[in-house]
Amino acid sequence: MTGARAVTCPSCGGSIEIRAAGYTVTLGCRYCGSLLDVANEDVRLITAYRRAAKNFAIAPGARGTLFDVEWEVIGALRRRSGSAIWQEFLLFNPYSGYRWLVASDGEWQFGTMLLDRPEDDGLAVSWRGRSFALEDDAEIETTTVIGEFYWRTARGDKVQGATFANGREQLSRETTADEVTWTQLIPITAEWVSEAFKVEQRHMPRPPRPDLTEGFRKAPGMAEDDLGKMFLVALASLGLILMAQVFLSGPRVCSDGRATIEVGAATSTHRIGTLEVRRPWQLVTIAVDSDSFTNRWVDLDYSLVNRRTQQSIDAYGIVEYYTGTDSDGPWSEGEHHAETLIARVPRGTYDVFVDAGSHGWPTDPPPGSIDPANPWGPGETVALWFRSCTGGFSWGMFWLMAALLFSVPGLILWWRHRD
Amino acid sequence: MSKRMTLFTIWCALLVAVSALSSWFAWTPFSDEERSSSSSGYYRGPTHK
Amino acid sequence: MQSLNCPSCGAALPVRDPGLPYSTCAYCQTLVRREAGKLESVGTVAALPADVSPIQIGTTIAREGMAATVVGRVRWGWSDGSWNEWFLRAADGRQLWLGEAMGMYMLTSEYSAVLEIPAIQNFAEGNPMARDCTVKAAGKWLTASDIKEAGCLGSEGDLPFPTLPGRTMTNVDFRNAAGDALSVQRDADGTTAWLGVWTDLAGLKPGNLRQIEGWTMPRALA
Repeated sequence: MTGARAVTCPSCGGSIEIRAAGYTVTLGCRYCGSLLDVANEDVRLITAYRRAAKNFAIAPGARGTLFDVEWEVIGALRRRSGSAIWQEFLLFNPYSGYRWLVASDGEWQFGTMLLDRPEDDGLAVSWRGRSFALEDDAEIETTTVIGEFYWRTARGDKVQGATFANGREQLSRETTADEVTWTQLIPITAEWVSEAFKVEQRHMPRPPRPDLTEGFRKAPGMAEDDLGKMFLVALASLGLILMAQVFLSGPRVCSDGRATIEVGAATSTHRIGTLEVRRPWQLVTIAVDSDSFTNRWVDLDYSLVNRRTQQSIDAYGIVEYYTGTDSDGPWSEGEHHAETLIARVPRGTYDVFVDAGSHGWPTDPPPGSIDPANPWGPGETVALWFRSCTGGFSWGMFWLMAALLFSVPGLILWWRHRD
Repeated sequence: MSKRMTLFTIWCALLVAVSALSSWFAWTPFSDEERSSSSSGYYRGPTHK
Repeated sequence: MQSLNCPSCGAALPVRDPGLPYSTCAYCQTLVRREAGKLESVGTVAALPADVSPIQIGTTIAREGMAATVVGRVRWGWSDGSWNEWFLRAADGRQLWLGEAMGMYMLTSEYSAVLEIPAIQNFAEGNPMARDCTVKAAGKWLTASDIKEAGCLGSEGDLPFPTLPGRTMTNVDFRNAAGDALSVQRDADGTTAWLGVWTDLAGLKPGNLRQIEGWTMPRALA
């Protein structure tokens, strides 16, 4: 008595042998891909298609032996969840029932439907005394159906699929409106599958390309995979901003000057350079370096005086350097260098003046103290070298822009990983 | 391109434009014209603790 | 084995289980009622559609020290498919059903005690059964997971009820996490309840399985 049942595809007229006759409910015609209802004696067309998908890693109809049982691949599905795409093969043996072969990311799994159910306890399940932790819970869509199946299935079918893992063994739970099915999935080597079946390597679902943004894209709860692109766009924008800040602030012309200041004395005024601003507006940067004093500070009040209008633009700087020792050991603070940025300086020629005063910490040196190296000189002094330049770079502006650019993808990333 | 990505690209372009304009007009909110009140005429020294 | 002849076509009509009133003639599909040594034709059964079930009449099973032999089969169809119910007579006289679905097997024996449960009484009175209805049977909690309206598609061998076309029933399958099974069936003759387990074929320790063309019987089952 032969078990096979032959039907004629109502769409293309092709003759199809039903291999699991008596069990099979849905048939995807291997010639035209049309979906047929073969639950009853009369074959009903569910959806007509023009072309059967052929690019499966294993062709339906192939037979092979796995775990000492000969299996026939009677159906194949292509399924998708987010950006992941994989293939599932339904294996059949009339004496052993159904099994699954799942090909994803270049790897294989062998699936057995469970007759007993794992006990659900939230983010993990226990099955036959072992605990499986929730790995993934997402909607799965079936995109291609070919061959025969013992349940009603169609392209576009959606189920909620959860995966629980214990080591490399997985339990998969698929939930539809009507039922919940559990499947145990164990890894199986590609060599083993290749020994059993003819595997078309070029039709295997591709392993994911190495991608720095992978971690973001695969995070749960995020369908969009544009986060990596967002970071790239933000980075490119920051590069443009850097170039704009550097090239649009010129031309750069500098003028040098120096001053010597007595520590503890009243402030003194020094002319430290001349600058010509050649554009309607420019930044002006004044950099100062001092000799290496300790425990002193120098207040610097700069004035840019326009030669034509005698109007002045004021700015402020400070050079300070302290050292000491406390319970944590020696420490130092400050540096012998300072930069002052002056914004919106209008076109014109400017004399640069500084009102400078220096003091000691915690107190000024006693007045009239004599420097043994220079007994006839004035008291202790600080030497300052100034360089005033048109143009400049506002680091504050740069970091503000960086923060505004990266806050958007940064917030999305935080939102994704806050659990 | 997703709607979200389009919006974000517009936001980036806006920031680049703002940055270019501010450079051209030599404007920045982070200049040193104002002496902060806490540092004027008071005792100064290390903030080291 | 006692042998009779079909009153319709005269072919031999083997009696596999004298305790059962109905037998289907394998040659002319006549449904024969045997009563007090008299044979009576009661109609014609639909021809069974081809399938690849490894079970056949005469298949033996052994589970938990109980041996049983398949004496008949009825095939049920519903909107989304069809399935076999094999009828078995155990060596101790008990009646068993072996349901086949998804390549798996549900082996049950009659368990009338659950018919006292109000939810099942309510169902027996003709009312619908709620999905997720939970009942306790032999100390086990089971939940209604599958409710089907089914029609008889055909039969073979000896059976306890007539299997003429047009016979319908409502079947409710209960199951639980441990793999226990309860099947409650309501038809024109009343409601019966059957309790047992889900298992794969190997778990039945079967003998005399059907040789399916194109397939080698696994050595463990042969």
